[in-house]
Amino acid sequence: MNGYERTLAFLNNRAVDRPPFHPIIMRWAARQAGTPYRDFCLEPEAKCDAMIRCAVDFDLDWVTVMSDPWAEASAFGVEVAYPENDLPVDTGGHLPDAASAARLSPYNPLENMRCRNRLAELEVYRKRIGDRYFTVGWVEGPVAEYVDLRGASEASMDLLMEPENAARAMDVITESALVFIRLQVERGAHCIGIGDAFCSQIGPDLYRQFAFGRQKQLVDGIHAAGALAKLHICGNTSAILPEMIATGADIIDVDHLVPSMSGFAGLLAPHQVFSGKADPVSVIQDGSPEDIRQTVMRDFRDAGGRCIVSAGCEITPDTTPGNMHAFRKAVDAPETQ
Amino acid sequence: MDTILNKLTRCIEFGKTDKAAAWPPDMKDQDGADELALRALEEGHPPDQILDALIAGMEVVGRKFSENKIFVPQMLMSAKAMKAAMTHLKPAFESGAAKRKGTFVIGTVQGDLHDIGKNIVAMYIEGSGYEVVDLGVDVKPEQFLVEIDKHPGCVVGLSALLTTTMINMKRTVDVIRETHPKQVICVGGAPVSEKFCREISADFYSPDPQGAVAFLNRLAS
Ligand code: B12
Repeated sequence: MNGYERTLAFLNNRAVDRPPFHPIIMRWAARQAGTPYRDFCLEPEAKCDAMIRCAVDFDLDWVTVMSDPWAEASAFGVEVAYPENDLPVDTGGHLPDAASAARLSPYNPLENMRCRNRLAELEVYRKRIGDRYFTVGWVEGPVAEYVDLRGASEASMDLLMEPENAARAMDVITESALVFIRLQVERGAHCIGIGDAFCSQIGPDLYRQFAFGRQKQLVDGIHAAGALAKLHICGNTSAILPEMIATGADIIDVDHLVPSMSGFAGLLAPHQVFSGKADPVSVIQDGSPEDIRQTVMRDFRDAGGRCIVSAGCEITPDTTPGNMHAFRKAVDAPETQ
Repeated sequence: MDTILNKLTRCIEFGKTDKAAAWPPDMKDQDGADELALRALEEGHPPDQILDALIAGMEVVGRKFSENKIFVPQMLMSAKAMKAAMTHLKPAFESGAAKRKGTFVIGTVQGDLHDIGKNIVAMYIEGSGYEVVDLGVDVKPEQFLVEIDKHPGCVVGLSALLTTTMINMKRTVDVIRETHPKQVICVGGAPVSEKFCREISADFYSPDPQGAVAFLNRLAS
């Protein structure tokens, strides 16, 4: 079975040789491949090359287009600097206030370099690996993107002080994301991830008010375009996991800060699975192979077997290749079969 | 009794900055922290007493945040209300008419741009009666040295949210200790732990602002 077949079979409740292995790698992938982070973010060939090499060397089942949150923000007008070997930084062009956020206009992904690159990455994947790996495109969710455009503190306060303006901006963000989704699926993405990490910080009421409906719209859009949907919110999402599941996303990411998946597994529809949830720092980076094995087994059990094996969020750059191999091996433990 | 100071406490608790503020909806058109702090001073309440009222509000906010009853947006609104009130108290502190308990110099370490947690800690500590010097994000070790020299006896707080910038936290501690071996430094941020704090020879770790305030209060007493 290849990574694509394994992932599809697992999602469809068909027999698999082992559960799929989908660790989120960005800075770690660049480091393993010796690729400067600027090139990783800006050169489709460089990113895809690093990702494919890691997928081969560490027997991952997927490849993604993830590197940093600034693609859509740059299309909306945020200025981003790309240090040679460090993370990109937003340097200006943010929305100065909620009133200007309300006047946000949709962007055309084909007119922005970062968005075009994402499409190019998916084309590289299609050309180089076809249907051998599960290929995942990406869009920022409504709340995360609003945070990228306004700044986290300002965005947070807008949700309370200027809810109508924030909501209007998020409608435009969602509308643009739907266009970007279709273009990514046309380029061969099997699945589109929605990254909306900040949702873990706003509490269940604001999540329902601002995020749930729009995330559901994105999931429906992804399905209508013919792909699968993944919803990524890291942090402690215990209070919103039922809604995250209710968006209908096929893969629901769960971070280690959620104490256990056991109370939520019963809410999954037959086509849905979790993906998670080892602590990237204390377990995957700093733990022993045995710690990693125990954690993977426990989480898999808690999820009633409906869990793609991954860490709660990005694999840290300092994680050793040895621990990554141990992580992959943990998927073979008899308890996960 | 609903005194002006009780009202002020409630404004901090619920994040009511000023009369015009739309949040919270059920306090619409009521005076906020801004107007009430000014009036309390005009009515002759000593600044220390007003500060106590603010601290009482902050304590409730901190507790609710720890218990997941409020979240980052509400916490930031309380911070904003606190700031609004503090603007009026500042002259009293600066003239010496009221006493601050000490100075806290805080920043997010070099390479790290996460500042929400740091901002919450800063406002919590300011709200607990300390002067806070906030150096912002991506702060080089040398910038801390400048502030330490300006504020002898201050406590330094370092925040980091990335495993890759925790190393810069260590470097910051090392650079500070080279010239200021006795400088008190406390650290925090999601990936930081008690163990890491000991490894880099910082003095104190707290997972939340309340712990940091308790630590500062112990030092100050
Ligand atoms: C918001 C956010 C962002 C925003 C930051 C906006 C801002 N102005 O802060 C943006 C979009 C810019 C961002 C960027 C990135 N982020 Co980010 N981000 C987050 C997120 C969603 C929330 C962080 C937050 O604000 N928490 C809320 C506050 C209140 O909590 P806190 O900071 O922990 O603070 C509390 C305590 O720790 C403590 N505390 C904090 N500081 C201090 C200091 C002292 C002295 C004390 C005593 C206590 C203390 O008190 C606070 C209040 O209780 C988290 C994921 C999540 N869901 O948790 C990821 C997360 C922190 N980000 C992460 C990553 C990887 C990134 C990027 C590298 C992504 C990328 N590839 O580009 C970049 C890095 C940019 C950079 N150079 O810093 C990772 C870090 C992983 C790791 N451990 O290394 C996280 C954990 C997501 C994940 N699971 O992978 N991010």
